Amino acid sequence: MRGKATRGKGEGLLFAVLTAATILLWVALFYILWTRIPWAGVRALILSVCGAVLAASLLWMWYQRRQVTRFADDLCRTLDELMSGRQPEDIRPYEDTLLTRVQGKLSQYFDIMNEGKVQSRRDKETIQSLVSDISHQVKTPIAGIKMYVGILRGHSLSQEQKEVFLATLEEQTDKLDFLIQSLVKMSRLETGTFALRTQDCRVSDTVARAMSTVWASAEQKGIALSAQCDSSVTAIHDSKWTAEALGNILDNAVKYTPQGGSVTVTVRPWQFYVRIDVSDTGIGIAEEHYSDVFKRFYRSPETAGQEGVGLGLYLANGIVVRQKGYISVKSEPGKGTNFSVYLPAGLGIEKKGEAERKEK
Amino acid sequence: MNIVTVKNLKKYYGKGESQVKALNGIDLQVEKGKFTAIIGASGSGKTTLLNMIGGLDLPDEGEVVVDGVSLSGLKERELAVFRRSKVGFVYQNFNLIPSLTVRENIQFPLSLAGTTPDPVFFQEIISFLRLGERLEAYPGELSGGGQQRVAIARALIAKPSIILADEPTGNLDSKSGQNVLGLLKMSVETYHQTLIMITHNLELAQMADRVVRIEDGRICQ
Repeated sequence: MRGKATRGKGEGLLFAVLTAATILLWVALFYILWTRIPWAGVRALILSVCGAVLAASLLWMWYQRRQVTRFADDLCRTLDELMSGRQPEDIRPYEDTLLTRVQGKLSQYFDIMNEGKVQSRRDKETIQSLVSDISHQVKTPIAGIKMYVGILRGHSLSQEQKEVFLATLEEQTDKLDFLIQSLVKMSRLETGTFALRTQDCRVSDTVARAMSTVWASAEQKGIALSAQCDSSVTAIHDSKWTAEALGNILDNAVKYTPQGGSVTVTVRPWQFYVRIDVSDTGIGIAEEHYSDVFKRFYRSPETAGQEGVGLGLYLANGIVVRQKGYISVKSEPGKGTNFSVYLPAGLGIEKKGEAERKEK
Repeated sequence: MNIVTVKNLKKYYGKGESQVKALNGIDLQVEKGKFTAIIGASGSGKTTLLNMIGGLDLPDEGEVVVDGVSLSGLKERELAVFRRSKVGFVYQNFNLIPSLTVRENIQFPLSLAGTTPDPVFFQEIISFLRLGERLEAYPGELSGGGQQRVAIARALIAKPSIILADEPTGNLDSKSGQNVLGLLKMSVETYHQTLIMITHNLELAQMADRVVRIEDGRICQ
């Protein structure tokens, strides 16, 4: 039996004083009864009533003390169980008593603390799968490069043939370079080591930055690239990384839109979010693959003919989500796709100016 | 880790010939901290399922286990405490009390439990859902999106581990729907809560980590 905790000094003193007071009161009671009340029957009656009251209050005190001890015992048991990592047994968590309320809060607290442990284990697993993915992805181009180097070295080739092989070699190296860069970005995203500096700034600048990366390839394919964006719209975002995310979406749009198509960016300021739509007239995405396109290394069967590793949209989604935004997609296969990026809305350029003036 | 486990859940309405099988053997596991969307046509049993997970309705067969506790083993009073402490509900028609202010509406579940809100947490939710300026207003003075944000704050205030949302954007235009759902998703991520949402809007469902489709009282993959 646990819980026979010793009484504190103060408690002991209080107990002594109370006992003394009770004895004094009883002495006073006897004195009054014997000097003032002549009838023995009445004296006995009053005495027995007082005795009963005393007994009842003592009993009540004992009961209360036992309740508190029990409460403490149960609590200690729960804590012991939680400390050793076991789920507390035989508690009815939804009983409406003080004990279950405290126990409930305790296990909630325990869960929250445990969350960190679970998270770090999950991170470890992510990194492991990342490493195996990376090595898998890098193997193929490296094998290619090795092969071409072997051919160049081992065979006597004409200058022209050499040129052809060197060009292929360069292509492979570029591919590898692109892959490695994406992988580095991805691993930084996964492990959360990149710092997003979000601030209330113009969306139009970010959109312009993103569009500049696909301008050349769009022109080459004869795709009309256009944007509708009010320059006063602001959102709370990291311009550099968001441009990267939008650039990836735009890159896909251009890649999967046939010649003569169009890619349009539209920015709409909403109450809490700024919505940036990137719509194209490309091959589209089937409804059942809507959420797949954001997965790491996912490539839909229709895109097999195109270059790519399946990281662009995954990165874009990660970047946007880390800025407390989100991405949704709507598409009609054969007609086109619309990606909507939602970023937390800023104050807008006019109000922002006002706020800054006020601060000064 | 699964926070909700549903085993062979069945619920029938009516008897004999006219019997309707609202749920016809549902098995479902919901992982802790994830956002699950339940889609399906109206009458497919989505709401019945959600009500049973929330302890509002009892199944005819099968069982619901939430956080290690089987709901069928609980008494009515215990179910009430379960709903109060474990689950936050968000409905299509908001279900706010018109005669209470926004602040009182949000604190209402706590006053039922006889506790007061943690003031820091209250402020956090309020600024999160951008309700700071409307605390003394009445629900009727707010837009649909505003009312739904109040309802979300009310669902969050008791720090439940599960949020059950039944068509939370059903009464909102698509713009405020996206706005509100964005905030809801963000808050459950911030507080590591599990969100189960019914919707028939595929565009909204794709924001979930997992989409479950129900047809005629069964889950189809």
